[in-house]
Amino acid sequence: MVATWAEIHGVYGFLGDQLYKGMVDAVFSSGVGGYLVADYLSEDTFQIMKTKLRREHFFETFLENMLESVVARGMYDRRLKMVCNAGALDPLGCARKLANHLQGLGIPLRVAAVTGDNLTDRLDELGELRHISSGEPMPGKYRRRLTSVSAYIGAKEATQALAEGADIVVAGRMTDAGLALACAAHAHGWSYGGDVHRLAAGVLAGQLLSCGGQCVRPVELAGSDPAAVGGLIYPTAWVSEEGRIRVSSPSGATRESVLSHLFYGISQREFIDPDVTVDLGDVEVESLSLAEVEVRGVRGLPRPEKLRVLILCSGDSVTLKGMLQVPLSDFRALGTDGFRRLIGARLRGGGSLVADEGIDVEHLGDTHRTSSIFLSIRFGQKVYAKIGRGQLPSLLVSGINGGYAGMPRIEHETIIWDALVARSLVEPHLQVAHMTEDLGDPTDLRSQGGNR
Amino acid sequence: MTSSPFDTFPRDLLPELLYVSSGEDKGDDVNFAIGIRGVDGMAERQRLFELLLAWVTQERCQEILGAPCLVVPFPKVQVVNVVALGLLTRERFDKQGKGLGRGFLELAKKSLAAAS
Repeated sequence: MVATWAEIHGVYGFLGDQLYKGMVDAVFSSGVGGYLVADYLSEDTFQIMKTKLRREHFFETFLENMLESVVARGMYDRRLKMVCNAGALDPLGCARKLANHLQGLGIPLRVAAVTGDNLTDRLDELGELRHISSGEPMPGKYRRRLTSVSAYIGAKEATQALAEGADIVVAGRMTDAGLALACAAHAHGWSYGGDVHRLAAGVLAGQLLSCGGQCVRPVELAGSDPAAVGGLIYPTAWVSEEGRIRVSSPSGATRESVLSHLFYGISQREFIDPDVTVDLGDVEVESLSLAEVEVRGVRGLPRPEKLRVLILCSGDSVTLKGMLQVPLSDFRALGTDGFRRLIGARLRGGGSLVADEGIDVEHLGDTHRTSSIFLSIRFGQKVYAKIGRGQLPSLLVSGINGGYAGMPRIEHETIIWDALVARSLVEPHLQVAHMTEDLGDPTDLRSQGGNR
Repeated sequence: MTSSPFDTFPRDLLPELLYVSSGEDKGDDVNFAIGIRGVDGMAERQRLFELLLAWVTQERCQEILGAPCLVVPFPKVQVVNVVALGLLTRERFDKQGKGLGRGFLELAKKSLAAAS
């Protein structure tokens, strides 16, 4: 019996990833009926995309770089489907833009959005939001400085959208690992109440495809060909109906590269996803060739009772960061503590409110005549950070005979507050919204490809 | 000469037999996974893994990293996963801990070189 495999290409590793070649490689090398997954969101991305203007900008980036005419046509002709979490806080807005964009190109790919994971306007319904590690209730001051609240959701609704005919599914805070699970479950007709081991294989495939090409890059650059690393091709995961995983890339894949990324961000024996808990303890990894690695022994455990929510808030402070180059002899004479006191005195002399204890000076290294130092200065208010930044040039002219090694910038502290909420607070609100009219059922060409 | 926790690093664990990865973009904890590579034969790979696992204790990692640590072994793939709790709160440059694992191995490498 020939195994049936879902062919899932990783094409996008983060917001702003513009490896256009990756998308082209995937679309034009994929068999008919393959899938593309585009992982967009780190936790910090929500802070970047907190305003409508910024969201619009990044949605445009996504559309322009990833779905121009030739690529979209290639997707359509090959009956490829894509699942992405590009929507962040506004999957519906992103999906609408995408549908309009495709309409403008004259390519009838059908777009759907998964909505309901953005809980920002429902904060009062979510209870104390105790921290996932400390158990402390979320402080009131964070509630007043809220940027966003999003639930990490699983793949069920995205699979539903695919089954209902969507070619591209735009989700929000859907887990990166869930993107591949949605595709594998759709390809094989898996049930979300069914075999947990298969669901676990879908999730682990998603973990391996996340973050672009991490699972196929060399574990170290020593001994590697720089041009080959520069030309790395994002990986493809093949997930069999019974739950085996093969990861490949034409630019190479090793057991070590796959294992390195398999453990990315793993803090225990289990990898917890909303749809299933993956037990990594019995996983085995074997190299099949220079370009392909097999992962076996993936075991699933029941899904977690609660859903994790990501809460982003503005913190108490702002930080001024920069790098300076100073004469080696001066640095040796004063040391980091002397420089700290010098900088503090100058900033206070310029009107900035800062304590020496809020100033970190780190020595990065020396050339034969200069020392490089990194400055990190915490202020209670932005106005003082701005004044402080204004004083640094003065310090470099009339104090230290040095210069910038990197322009100083002001960073606002962002608090990431992780909590758990009952599924009943989220799941009834999850919905699939189809953007385009049903354009008919294209001939199913999957039987001509997708097997290996 | 001051002593270092790496002074006891097993001499059989040559740097070219180890690989490591680290990094975290979701909070204050960071993990790194150290594995055995380039060894022919499962028995030898397992022997080296056990040497590694015996040396990579929570206490030793805590001493090296200055943060509470968890150590989780994955014997089937010969990987030891170390989680440093809260370490990223005090990182200024390597805010995602991507250099952490390699830095750890570099210290082992230096210790082995000094001993030979």
